[in-house]
Amino acid sequence: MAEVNLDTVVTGFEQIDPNTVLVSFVIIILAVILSKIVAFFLTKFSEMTWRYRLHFKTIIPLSKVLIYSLAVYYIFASLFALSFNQLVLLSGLIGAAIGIGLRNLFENIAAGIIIVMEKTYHVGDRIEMGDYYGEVKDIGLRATRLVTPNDELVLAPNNLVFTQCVASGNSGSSEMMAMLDIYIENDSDVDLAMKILREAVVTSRFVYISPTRPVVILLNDYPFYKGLKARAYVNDLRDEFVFRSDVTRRTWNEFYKKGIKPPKAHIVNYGNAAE
Amino acid sequence: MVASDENDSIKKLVFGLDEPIAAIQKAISDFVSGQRVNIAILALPYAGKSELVDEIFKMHPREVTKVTFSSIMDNKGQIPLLKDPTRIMIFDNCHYLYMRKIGGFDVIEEFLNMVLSSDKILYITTWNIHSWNYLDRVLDIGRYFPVQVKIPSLNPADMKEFLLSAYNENEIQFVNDIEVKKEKIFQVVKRPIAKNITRGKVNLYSLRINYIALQTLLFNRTPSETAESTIFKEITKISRGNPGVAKDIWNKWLEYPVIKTSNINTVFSNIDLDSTGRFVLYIILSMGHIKKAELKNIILNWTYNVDDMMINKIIFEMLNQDLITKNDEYYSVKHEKLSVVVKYLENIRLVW
Repeated sequence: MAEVNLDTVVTGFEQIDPNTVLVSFVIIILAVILSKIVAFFLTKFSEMTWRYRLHFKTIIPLSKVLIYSLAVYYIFASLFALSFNQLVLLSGLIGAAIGIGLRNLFENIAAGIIIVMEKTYHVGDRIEMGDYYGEVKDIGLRATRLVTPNDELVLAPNNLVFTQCVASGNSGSSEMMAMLDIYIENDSDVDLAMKILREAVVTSRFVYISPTRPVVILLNDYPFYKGLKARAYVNDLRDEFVFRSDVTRRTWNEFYKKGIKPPKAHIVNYGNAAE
Repeated sequence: MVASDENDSIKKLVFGLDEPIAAIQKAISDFVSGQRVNIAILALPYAGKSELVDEIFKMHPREVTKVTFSSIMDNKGQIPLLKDPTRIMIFDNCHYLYMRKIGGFDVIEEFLNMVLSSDKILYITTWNIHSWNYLDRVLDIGRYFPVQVKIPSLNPADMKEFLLSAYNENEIQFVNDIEVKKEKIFQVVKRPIAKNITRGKVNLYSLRINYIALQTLLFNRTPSETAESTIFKEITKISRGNPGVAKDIWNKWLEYPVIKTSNINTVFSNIDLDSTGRFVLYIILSMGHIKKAELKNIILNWTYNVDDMMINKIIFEMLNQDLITKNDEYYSVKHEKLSVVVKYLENIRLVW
């Protein structure tokens, strides 16, 4: 029985002519082009509807998976006209290929599908994965594209989600928490300093405040200086660094006006060493 | 043609302000019986909050003192401390008590302290709703004013009554001078190209959109709808039910005693401002009316390279895009652009 089936399968594969292979390539190229077009329009549309930007961007990797799946299905089912047995055999061949040498590739693809389905992170999120930190620009089947704060494009393989912790700063929201530290001399008026820092944060045009996204100002006491920490949410995660810079600059401008000074450099170094 | 001011004012209160008045009257009667709950009246510019407090003032002339802030108070000493205050104090335009900058909350904190410390006075305050929303998240001012009255939007029926209240019956004629044809919204148009060479065999196909038909579909303008209904529906939509804005639009469309459907000018605005421009637009919206010097005072604290030229450039851009208007020294969002601007700023979440 098995031998008969194997013969049928082999015969089926022998019937695949160069024309079918060529058409298959064309379909794959069309699928790639179509997924690019869909991604382009979804990105454009998401930027227009700024508020729901990340919701629309979530659809991009899903649409890619759908388009590629349909293309693969069409190639196997219609062009090669493979029967169930042939598909089973093909799966076996793919399994062997994974085992032999393409394990990483298929692991990345599996991880890519898991990322999309499980929503580990979304396009637009700011994540830290392994040694990489940046905004997710695209989730491909093989790799995730990240843009780092230094505007470098990083292609992080998807299978990192299996082996590394992934930290997402915003997890699908437009806003994300931004923290900044400011150190002042020990004998400074800390109440005034905290008031100034708080006002610098809440008046920033980049800030987002809601009952679940409060602004928190904390005071840390070190042996030779005091540290202020501000925890607030930036309205658009892309403005994280501009927000920090804006708050820091305006805070120090006001500190200097009120006579609040930074600690001496060597004292700060002492604190860092102590930590 | 026009009724007296007093009658006009009383009539205005009928349109959508019944509930706010009832809430305020209840708070006043509770205060008389010993329970003090301060009131905040919240509204967009031109929505009629000042008219509402005027009416409260008229209802209780001997018990009420009204103080109106007309520009930003940047000094604690500018808060009027009345030697002999009445039992009910109305402070109109309280959003002028803060500035969105470091040190810009000192005046409002002083004012809130005054509100807390004077047990025997009922405070009725009015606020720009966007400033209120911001201050509520930053200073939690909702706790100082437990009764918060939002001036509701008018529906088309109330809007009609409000706008026609100044005229006699049948004084205004509504004319439908637009014939909406039943046409296809999308049509494939064939255009022959290289006609001389190919003898018309090669055609270029394009999609033609019938915008009038599309608008009819989108805005439910059925051909059977009367001109009057169409006009009031459009005015209510453009103004978002804001009576002040609606009145201004009405005056622009009216060619007394006729108002035509062809005068309907639906506002579609593509706002194109940089990040500083957006913030300035937000400040103008949340203050209602603001002077250039006040604007500069706020922005100066925010960005390091602000000078007159930069402020002038931003204001020029907004004037050029027909978003704001200048009246005397004050800049404000144009009446008919108010809803567009609010929607834009909500979309980019500068308005919370």
